[in-house]
Formats: sequence, C-alpha cells, structure tokens
Amino acid sequence: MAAILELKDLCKSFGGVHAVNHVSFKIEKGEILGLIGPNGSGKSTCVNLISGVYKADGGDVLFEGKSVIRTSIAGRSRMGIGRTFQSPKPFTGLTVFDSVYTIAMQTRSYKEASKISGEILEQMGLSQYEKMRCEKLPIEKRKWLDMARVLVTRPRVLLLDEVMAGLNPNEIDESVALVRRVNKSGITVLFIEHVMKAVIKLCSRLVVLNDGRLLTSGDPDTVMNDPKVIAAYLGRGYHHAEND
Amino acid sequence: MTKEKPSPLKPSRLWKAGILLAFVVFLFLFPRMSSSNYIVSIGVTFCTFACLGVSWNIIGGYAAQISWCHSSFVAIGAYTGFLLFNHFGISPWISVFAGTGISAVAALIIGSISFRLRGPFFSLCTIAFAEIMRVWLLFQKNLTQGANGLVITFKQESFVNLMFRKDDAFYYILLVMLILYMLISWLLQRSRPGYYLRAIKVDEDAAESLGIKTHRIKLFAFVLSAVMTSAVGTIYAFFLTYIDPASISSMDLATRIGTMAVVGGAGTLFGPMVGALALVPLSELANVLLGSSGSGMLLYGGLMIIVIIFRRGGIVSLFSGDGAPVPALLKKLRGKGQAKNGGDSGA
Amino acid sequence: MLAQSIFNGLVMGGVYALIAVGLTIIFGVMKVINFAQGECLMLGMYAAWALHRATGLSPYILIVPVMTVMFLIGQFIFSLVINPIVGRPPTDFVVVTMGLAFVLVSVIQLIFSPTYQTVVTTAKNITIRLGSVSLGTPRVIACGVMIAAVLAVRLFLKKTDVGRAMRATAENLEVAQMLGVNTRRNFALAFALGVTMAGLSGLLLTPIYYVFPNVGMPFKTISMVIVVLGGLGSIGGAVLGGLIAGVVEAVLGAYISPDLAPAGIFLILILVLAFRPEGMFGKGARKA
Repeated sequence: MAAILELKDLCKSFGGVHAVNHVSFKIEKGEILGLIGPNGSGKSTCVNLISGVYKADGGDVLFEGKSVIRTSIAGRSRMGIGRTFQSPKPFTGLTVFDSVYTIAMQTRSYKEASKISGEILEQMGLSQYEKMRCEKLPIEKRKWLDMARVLVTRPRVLLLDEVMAGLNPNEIDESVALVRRVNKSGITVLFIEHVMKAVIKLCSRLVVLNDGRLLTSGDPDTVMNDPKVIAAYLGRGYHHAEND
Repeated sequence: MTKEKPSPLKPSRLWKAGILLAFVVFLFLFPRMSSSNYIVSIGVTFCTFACLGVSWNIIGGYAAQISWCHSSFVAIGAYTGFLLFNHFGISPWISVFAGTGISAVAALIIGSISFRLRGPFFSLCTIAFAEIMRVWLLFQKNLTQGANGLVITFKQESFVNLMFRKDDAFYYILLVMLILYMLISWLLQRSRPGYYLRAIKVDEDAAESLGIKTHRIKLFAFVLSAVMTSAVGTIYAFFLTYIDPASISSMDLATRIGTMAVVGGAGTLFGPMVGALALVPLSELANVLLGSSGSGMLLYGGLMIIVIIFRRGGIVSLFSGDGAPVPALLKKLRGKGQAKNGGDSGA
Repeated sequence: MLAQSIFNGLVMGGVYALIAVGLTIIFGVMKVINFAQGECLMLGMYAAWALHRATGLSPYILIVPVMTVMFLIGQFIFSLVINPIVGRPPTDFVVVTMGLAFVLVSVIQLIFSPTYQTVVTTAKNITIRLGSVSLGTPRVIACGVMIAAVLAVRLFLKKTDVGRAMRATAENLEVAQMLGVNTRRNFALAFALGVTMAGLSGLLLTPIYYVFPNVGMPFKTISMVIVVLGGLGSIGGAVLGGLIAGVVEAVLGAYISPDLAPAGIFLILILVLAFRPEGMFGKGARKA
C-alpha cells in the first residue's frame, strides 16, 4: 500500500505554545487511520494544517507524493483533500439542498449537481430536510450535512474532525456504518475522535498525539494497551459518548 | 418539520408576477402621467439610484463586502464620458466602454489587494481609494478643471450624443438599464457565482475548505459591480450636464448608493430598487421641507442605522417574512424567489 | 527645507497618531472599525469651541472637561447604536458607524450651521525655533499631549484591573467570557475611550484648524490608513504609522503639491497592503 497523505516534521505554534511539534506520520491509501489523544493534544491543529486553514511554521504535507504546503485551502480541496469541522459550519440562510448543491456545482453541470445532491442527501438520511434552512436543522444532523457537502467534492482522503461527539449510542452505530460505507467507496479516512468505541470499531491503525507530539502509533490493540497512552489519558478515563 | 414549503404556491407566485408586471407598466407610463419636467427628473434620479443600488448590491449585498468607493466608479464613468466628448467628440455610447474598462482595472487592483485579508480591510481600502480618486480629480486641473468641474453644452437634440430637450429620453434609457441590471442580478443569483457568494458570505472558511476560490469570486463580484456602476455614471453625467469632484466623487454619494441597498434589503434581488423607490422621493421631500443643507444625509445615515439595528433584512424582509411575524395579507405575497434570496438576515 | 518639512510632518503626525490610537483601541477590543472616528474628532472640536466660547478659557485648560464630555458622548453612542449590534456580522458595524458619521455631521450642521468657526489662542502666535527649523506652538503642544495620552493609555491597559480585563477581551473573547469578564462593559469602555481620543485630537486641532461640520473626513481617512499601516490593534504601530503619515504628507506637500499629499499616504497604504498585509509593524498572520 502506498501513502496517500504524509505529514513530515510538521510544526505549528500559537504565541509560543507548540500546538503541533515535529509530527510525522503517513496515511495509507484505503485505510481508516484513527488520530487520537487527550484534549488539546494537537489533533484539530493537524487537520487544519493538512487542509491549509493554518499555515505550518515548518515541515511538509505530501498528498500522493506531492507537497501541498504552498497550495491554497481551496486548491487542496480540489486536489482531493476533504474535511469536516469540529463544530459544524452550516451555510446559514441556504436550504439544506442548496448548501450541497452549491458545492456540487463546482465540478458538474447544474443538472448533474442537482441529481448528485439529491442522492447524497438521501444516503445521509437528510432527504426529508431538503427544503429546510440549514440553521434550523437539528444539531446532530448538521454534522451529516457537513459530511454530505464534503462528499460531493469527491475527496480522495477525508479528514473527519470529531463527527460523533454528542451523538447517542444508536446514532453512533449509524455513523460508524456510514463512515465504513464511505471508506468502502474508496475514500481514505483520517478519523479524529474521542468516542473510543467508534475508533476501535473503525480504525485499522491508530496514531496518538500528546502535547503536540507523536506519542505512538500502531494497531488499535497494541496502542490501547500501551502504558504511555494510558498514562497520557490517566485521570481522564476513556471518553464516552455521554460525557462529550 | 418540512411544512415550510408544501408546494410551489401558485396564487402567490401569480400575485407576485402580477404586481411586478403592473409596476413595470407603471414605470413605462410614468413620464406620460405628468407634464412636469421636475417629476420626470425625479424619475430619472430614481432609475439612476436604483441602478447604482443594484450594482452596489452585487458586492455589498451578495458578497457582504461593504464598499465605500462606488462614487469613484461613477466619477470614472462620468469624467471619461465628458472628457472624451469634449476633447474628441466621442459619443457617450462608446465612451461608456472606456469608463467601464478603467473602472474594471481599478476594481481589480483594489480587490486583489484587499481581498487577501478578511475583516474590515476591504472597506478601509475602498475609502482610501475614494479619497485618492477625489484628490486626484481636484489635482489634475488641466484635465478635470479641479474643483470647478466639467460642463457639456447643449448643441442639438441627439440620441448619439445623449442630448435631449426633455428628460423623458434619459428616463427611458435609464429605465431600460435598470431592467437590464435587474436581469443581470437575477441571473447572477441563479448561477454558480451567485451560489458561491451566498456560501462565502456566511462562512468563508467552510466555503474555501470545500473548494470555492473565495478570493476570485469576490473579485469577480467587485469588478462586475464596478463596471455596472461606471456605466450608469456616464449616462447620468450626461443627464446632469455638469460634474465636479465634490458631488460625483464624494463620500456622500458613496454612502447614498449603499443606503439604497441596505434600506431596501441588501443581498436580495428587489431590495435596492425598493430602497430607491422609498428613498429618492423621501429625500426630495426632506429637501423641500427642511432645506437641502444636511437633511438628506441625516435621512440616509439615520435610516441606515435604524434598518440595521431593527430590521437588517431591509424593507423587502417585511414581505418575505424573515425572522419576524408577518401580517397575514403580506404572507400571501410571499413567493418562492424571495424566500430563496432572503437569506441575508441570518446571523 | 527638508528638515523643516520633516519636523512639520512629525508634529502633525502626532495628532494623526492620537486619532489612530483611538481607532486601534476600539479595533483591538471589539475587532471592528469605527467609521465615525473622524466625526468624533469633529464633535471634540465643537465641544472645545463651545466651551471656549462659554468660558473664554484657552482650549488647553479645557482638556479635562472636553475629555469628560467626549467620554460620556462615547458611552451614549455605544448604548444607543453600537450595543444593539454587538455580536452581529462585522458588516453591520461598517454600515452603522458610517450611518452614524452622517447623522453626526448633519445634526451638528443643523444646530451650528455649516459656517466655519475659529478658536483663538495666544499660543498660535508663538513659534518655537530649533536651529533653522521653526514650529508652531499649538502643533508642538499637540504632539506633547499625544505622547502623554498614549503613555497614559498604555499604563491604564497594563497596570489597572479594568485595563487588564480589556486586554483579556481583546486577546480572546470566549476565554474572557468564560473567566467572567463583563465583555460588553469592556466594549463600551473601549469604544468610549476611542471616541475620547478622537475628541482630544479635535481639541488639539482647534487652534490651528477651522471648526466646521465636515472637518473630520480627511482625518478619518488618514487615521484609517494609519491603523492599517501600523497593524490593526497595535498602539505602538498606530503611533509610528501616524508619524510616518505626517512626514510623508509634509514632504509631498512641500515638494510636489499640498493637494496631492493625502493621495501619497493612500498610495503607501495600498503598497503596504500589497506587500506586507499584516501592516508594517504587525505581528503576523491576521487572516480569519
């Protein structure tokens, strides 16, 4: 398997605090890689660095072997790096349908865009909300709308930033199935999550961050029993759906 | 939950179409209703400011980038038209394109610099540009006569040179322009850039991370807006026959243009026109009642504040019913199009 | 001649800096631009002029009363038009403060008529000589008061609890709210402080400028250029930006044409934005 995305010695600090400190890891084509770590360990910063929202202080991001560190945010999206945001960002004022349609029409004719938007919304179980304004959508559905929007950009790798926070166990199971379906359709997933149940179910490999540094990586069983990881989470317990 | 729009409401769409048609017919018959040239000249002012408002709305409304330099584009159009006519006898119908070209380049420069940054930079840059423009017009005395301004003298009735004995002709030319501008605005709203602009307006980060080239789209909107404004400037100047920096390149005019869209409803198709329909007669009235010194600007400034604080959707939002209870009768007028493009009031 | 121009520019730059410091305080805390800053300066001029007419005192003695009046006006404007739109998209501030600018000009025009007024001081007739350079006393005083005012503001922000709370609000709104800082009160304070600075600049200008309703406009645009030059939100940057703008204006005015001087400053702005968007003295990225 070849690496689709590679972080090389990535650094980012905010006012002297090293949010991401010389982090390197690879995401293999077709896998679901879990990125975990306690709060404030630099997971979201990593996502923002990969998608270009933050400019890296040092290091490089390679997408399919090519450096994208100088590519614009929009450019990276167009290359095939898709992402969701930790807190959903609905296009307030637009209908659910239009917010997907807007994104879909970038690379398609109006007619195709309309068709694919309908299909994606159906897959996400949002068909019944099509005509509703985004901001009126129930909170737990907004992440799905974010997901629908990013999926119509046909990403090759998808960065999911805590899509399951705040869901009940039933919804988590549904989401797990959904992410798996997305992955089966050929999209590599970087899965950032606190809900360990979902992480263990989905991920083939885990990368653990702590204080902005790479702590360890490997298959879920080994990682979860690693004393270093347990120490990093010490006192926090594993995060569950109810308390996040 | 999904009861918001049960089906395309035929009666209300019909209503809307009917009202629109009646209004257009009224606008066409308007000069025939009065023999007073003064009333017609108010009609010309209405058409001009409606056109300017519609143009401003493309950057200030759809893109939510507040521009205070639209008077400069009016000035570019006006001065280019006058200079080319006075020195070379070129018809304003041709110099219109020269003016729009210069305005497009100016907008391209300001936009490409200031859109790299978010926040208030665009508005700041437009103010700076407006000042440069005004100062430059005052300074180039050989070319522009400085503060004295430029005049064109009436020779003979001529469509080519935009010289008419009565204001009716100007009224119809500007009315056709207004209809054209509304059409452009409508098409923009329904096309890719229109959709992108609405997305950028509410969440630039999200839009960008989904592949929308926000910088480019905003630049497109600004250039389009500048071009449209400049064209109105040329025609309007020939109606005025006299232009000077203090009137045509002033912050007053820039604000007045923005007020049309804000009061009527920024980011909506009909907002700027409705704003002009309300404000142009109102400011005429204020001038008559209070005298022309300052009362007009008090009206514009005051309304701008009041509308933003109490009803940021503007007058149109009273009809589309965004975020506030609407009287039952008005609810009937609610059409699909308005519900769609009333999206500006979400915060 | 060059030395003379530079000194003229530096003292005028002092006044510009003071207006810009007001603007930058408001931006620093509230993250919005007050597009009525020049009109607040105009109000300060009228306050100084009115008090001067009523009492016959020199405007320099009236500094404290005028500042008090301006602070109250700032608080009043805030609660009337700014408070209702706190938390709204930034475009609302752009439109409302621009509207406010026109309302203020019109109201003053209706009350005092558009006629030009003057404030007479003895200081105006005294010039200070430094070798070959001579400077008008009012300008030198203005520059001195600016330095004092800026130092006072810095001290206030650094040393007092209220000032620290304001800085916390400026730094991170959400964290400040979480820590129980009354952010709205800080907004009001910052806004009133900014308005007071503008008013003080207005007072300092009365001995050398005519007082009339539209006097604020050029100062407004220049102060906006200055805050962008200096990096939005940075007080030191505003002072340096102000001095630079003053010098550029004076030198251009002396060697090319006084009419074209302001255009030169705006050109610098556009160049700075094109090549160093974070401002000449800005700290770094200021996207989003």
